[in-house]
Amino acid sequence: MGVILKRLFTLLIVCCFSQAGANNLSNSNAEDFYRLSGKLIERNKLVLTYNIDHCCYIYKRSLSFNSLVAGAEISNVIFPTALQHKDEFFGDVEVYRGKLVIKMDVEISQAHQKLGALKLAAKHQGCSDEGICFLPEDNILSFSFLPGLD
Amino acid sequence: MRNVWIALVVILSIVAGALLGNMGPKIDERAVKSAQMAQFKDLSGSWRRLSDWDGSYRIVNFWATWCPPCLEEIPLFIALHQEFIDINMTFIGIAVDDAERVRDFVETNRVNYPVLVGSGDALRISEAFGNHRSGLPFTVFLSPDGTLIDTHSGVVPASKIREFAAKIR
Repeated sequence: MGVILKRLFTLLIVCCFSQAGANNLSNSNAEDFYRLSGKLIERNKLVLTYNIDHCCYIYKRSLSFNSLVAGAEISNVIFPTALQHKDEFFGDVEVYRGKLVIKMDVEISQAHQKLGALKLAAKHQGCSDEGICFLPEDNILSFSFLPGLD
Repeated sequence: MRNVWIALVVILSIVAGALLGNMGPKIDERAVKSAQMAQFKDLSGSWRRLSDWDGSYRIVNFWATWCPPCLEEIPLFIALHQEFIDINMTFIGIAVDDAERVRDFVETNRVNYPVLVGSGDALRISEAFGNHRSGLPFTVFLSPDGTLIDTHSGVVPASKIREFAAKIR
């Protein structure tokens, strides 16, 4: 009887862990799978980093970045080499997984040289390997051009 | 010995509870009912609700043209809608998308069942049915009185729809 109890206790532990795992997965959503951060390097160089969950990927073509501040424009966006991915409907497409670092320039017009902050809209869309896709998402990031105000 | 049996019963109850907790969505029935009253435009511009199809079994598919797995399963829905045309069951698509893109897709692919169009609000409605990850495709199985029978996240296997149809026959 002791052996049976030990085995049942082991089963109990396994079930509790599987329940916890199931809850983590079902409670996660797109924001948890694609975490975005950004850093302003110098006054006109911006580095954005997506940490993409191992379950998921981002379509390269879905990525877009726009300044929300008059007088500041995003230019010269440098993407790393993407992975090739075959979609039944979209054919060969480029995707990113894991850590994605994107560099870009911020061009500030002559009339706005005293601009103190930048607000950026970063758009992405991705799917999970288990065949679930997430709504295109806009992240708004704010950066200060003045040291110590970030 | 009595203590051993009590311990057995307690452990088995906890195990059963844990396993059952993994099965099926935890759903607020009132939210499910009110979700069926939400209005979406169909492709002719008329406002429709899921409750307009009360009296029929419904397979409601949330999808979008930007979602490859969604597009993968639509030919199956078209074929099965035709195959089961003689039973009290209908497919309804709710696109989380732009109406023009949806119209182009529906016309090109000759989608033969009703398609409604929403945006973020459509996704929120899918969440009321248990789409906790807010992902697409997401499919809901409703009874004629609007009771939520089942849901499926991701591409629905044909066998699941056939089993559903077989129970209706």
